[in-house]
Amino acid sequence: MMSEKNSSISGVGTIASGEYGQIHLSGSGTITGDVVCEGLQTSGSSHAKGKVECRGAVVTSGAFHGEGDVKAVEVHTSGSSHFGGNLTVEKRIKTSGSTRVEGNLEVESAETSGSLSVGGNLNASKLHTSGKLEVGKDCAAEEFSSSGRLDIGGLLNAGTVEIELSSTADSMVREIGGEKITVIWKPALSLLNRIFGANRNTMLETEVIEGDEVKLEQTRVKVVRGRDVTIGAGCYAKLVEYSGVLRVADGATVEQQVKVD
Amino acid sequence: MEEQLITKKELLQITGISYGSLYRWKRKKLIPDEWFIHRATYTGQETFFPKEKILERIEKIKNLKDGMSLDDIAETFSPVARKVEATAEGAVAQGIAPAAAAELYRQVTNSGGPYDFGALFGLYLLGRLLQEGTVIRDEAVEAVKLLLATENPAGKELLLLRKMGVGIFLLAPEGTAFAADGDTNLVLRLPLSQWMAQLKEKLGTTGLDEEAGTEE
Repeated sequence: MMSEKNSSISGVGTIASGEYGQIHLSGSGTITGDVVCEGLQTSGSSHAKGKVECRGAVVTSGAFHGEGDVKAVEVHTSGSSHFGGNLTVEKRIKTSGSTRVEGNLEVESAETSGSLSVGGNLNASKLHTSGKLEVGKDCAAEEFSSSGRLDIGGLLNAGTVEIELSSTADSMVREIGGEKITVIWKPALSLLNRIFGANRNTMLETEVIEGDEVKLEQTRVKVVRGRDVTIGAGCYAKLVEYSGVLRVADGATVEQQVKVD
Repeated sequence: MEEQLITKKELLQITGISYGSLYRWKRKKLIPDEWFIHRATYTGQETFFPKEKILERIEKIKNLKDGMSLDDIAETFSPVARKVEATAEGAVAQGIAPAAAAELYRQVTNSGGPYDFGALFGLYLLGRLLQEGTVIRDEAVEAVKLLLATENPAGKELLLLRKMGVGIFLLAPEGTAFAADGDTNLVLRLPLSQWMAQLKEKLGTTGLDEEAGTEE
């Protein structure tokens, strides 16, 4: 099917449901129903009341609010974007500013700066975030790296997990599971931090960490299970079960350690 | 009938697989999420698995994984047919449900299709319940509405309890043990995964014969 008409709104206007080529909204544009399009670009304050199925890229800047499920090949957001349903992206999502997905986010590769908040599950192949990442339920990826603040209500399940803790606020992940799990505390090289010393009170709080290789710093955890485990400075673990090698640093506390076969 | 469970730790010890592998297979859907059963124990939260199922599954994965990619292996285990779609008429023609059930389902859902697998299962459930005669029409409709309102029915059982002529439907995890008072009758206990598998088989074949009788 050939791509249909392009549609542009600048100033205040509405676009009805239907099939389109490129949709441009600037100023205050509203899409009143479900649309299928080749591309969607928005700036200013835009509102999509129905579903959006985009065969190309959705590029938003300013304030974007999509009420229904949004599907696209690529998504680029800046400013404040709010997806009221699920967001499914075939290839890549790149966000800056503040992005909120009420439902699930499913994407091949995600790069976020600023804040990304997902109410449901986040599934990605590659997930790299800086700033704040919030996931209501479970988060799964082959490669996961974050710097800044994390708040994951369910299981973080990833092949490699690299968490760089923020020096400004605690992070919370209910459970972490995977192959190689590393949590390091790296204070931002800001002037204030250099003068006053970064706040070594911020921690990662978690219930269970299970992996093949686990290296932790500044982590408060109930149970760690794995093959080779390193409990570094600033950690507190209630129980560590390991089958390979366990190292516990001087500034760390492990209440109980058990070697298993 | 309670299934035997084993802990995650026991599983790793018996099979010799690592945490990394277990989590990877969970990500790739080679092991269904429903098999990860979280229970509170005196040591805190522990994860259990249905013993027979998980051991069998891990054996299969270990056997297949040198020859196939994980994604391909996942295909062989997928409990839900992908990209399945049929209209009400199509479903009747394929023998998924009798015409009367399809008509009733059309009214309940306000739609004649096309139905995805979840919706088709609702139709299949309605047809089977009506045919088996354990529940009356209104009850069957209630059961289907409950199913359609449930986000993840896999791994759950449909139960019907009746007391003094009033029926209550429940969707609970398979194998949940419970007790009810003496005046309450457990009229129906149906593991949905079995019927889902039967529906998938039906959709996979071009056969028209209805599968008779109940399993178990």
